Amino acid sequence: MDAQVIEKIEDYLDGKISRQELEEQLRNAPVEDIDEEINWLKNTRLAIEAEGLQDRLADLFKEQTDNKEASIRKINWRRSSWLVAASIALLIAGYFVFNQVQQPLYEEYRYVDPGIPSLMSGASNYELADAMTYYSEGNYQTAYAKLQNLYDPGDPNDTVSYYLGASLLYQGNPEDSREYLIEVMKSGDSPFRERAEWLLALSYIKEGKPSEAMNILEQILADEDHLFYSKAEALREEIQ
Amino acid sequence: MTQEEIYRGIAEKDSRTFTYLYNEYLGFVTRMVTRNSGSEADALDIFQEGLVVLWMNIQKDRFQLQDNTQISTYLYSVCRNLWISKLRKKKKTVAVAEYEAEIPDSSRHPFQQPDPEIMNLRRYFKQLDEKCRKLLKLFYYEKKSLRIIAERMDINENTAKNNKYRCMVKLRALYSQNT
Repeated sequence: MDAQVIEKIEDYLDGKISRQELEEQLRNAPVEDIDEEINWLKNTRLAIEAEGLQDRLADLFKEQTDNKEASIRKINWRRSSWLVAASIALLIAGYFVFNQVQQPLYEEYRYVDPGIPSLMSGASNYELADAMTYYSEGNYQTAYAKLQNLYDPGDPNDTVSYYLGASLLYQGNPEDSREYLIEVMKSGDSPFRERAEWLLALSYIKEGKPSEAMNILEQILADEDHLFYSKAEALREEIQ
Repeated sequence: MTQEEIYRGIAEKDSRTFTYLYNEYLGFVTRMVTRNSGSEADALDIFQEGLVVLWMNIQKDRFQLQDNTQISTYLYSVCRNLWISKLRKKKKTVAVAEYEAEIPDSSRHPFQQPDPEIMNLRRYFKQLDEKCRKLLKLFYYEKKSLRIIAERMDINENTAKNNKYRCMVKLRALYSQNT
């Protein structure tokens, strides 16, 4: 099976070419049975994905086990003169434990905006398309740098602001992301408003600020048609 | 979560769905395994593998959501049979029937074995070297582009492309040698 055959069959499996086009393109290739090759590649891809999933589940469930252990605390009440000190210790421990669970909570509700295909192929704005190509590949650092060149603080564009905010959050910088996300939310009827609200809530979760996150969640829950309504409901329940 | 939400969540490899299933159903599987010569660690391994098998069966249309389907019973059946297979390989006697009453729903779903070809391919995949496994997982599981893979593995994009092909050829060779 040569490289070109694999490439063409993968294009077919990904829906980029039709069966007829595949057969035409492989007409002169060293392939005895196209169906057999297609079947092998399909199963192989599935097998590799299964292995990836197994690794992912191992990490995910390890986090769950660690969280359960971290949430167990013994409280030893002594004489009433120690109650105040014990209360303070409990609050600090609770705050520490609560912050420890915020990262898995963030991961659980994490939303990674994939970008917008039309932006990435847009001929009318090459710089934006270029930035978004890096963004779609997960190269948020380069995407951020390129988007910064397009950002005009005097007349901010909601697309640029939103993806600047998203890029910063995905790089693990929730605090700086909020400036841009709030800008999008203030811009009225932006098509990015609902996503910006959700990412804003997540930015607070990531920083271990559940009260601030709740404020945003309540805003989302005031709109039954909100894109993230059910997720906001579930997250609010978990925080409570 | 509804059955439809769980089904869709598993199909899409949604972490929240897997976390939900972990919290709801790991206990049943743990009891079944620990009462049959296994440890909690064994139970967790079997539970994880059960979810992977369920995901694979959904992808291959070997498991579909029907009116009276409870995914929990199907998942339990998968885990039970995985554990029985493992015990039989270790030549240990098995008596899991008495725990049937504990499974979440009284309806039964015929257990579907995972596709043997895919299970074999997974075994051969594990025999590849670490770099091949990493590269192929980045490409097929994480769906990263060759450019990102090249950056992550500190090679150039052309090398990533060639290495991907070489790893697939190695995997194909292992498959051909053993079938």
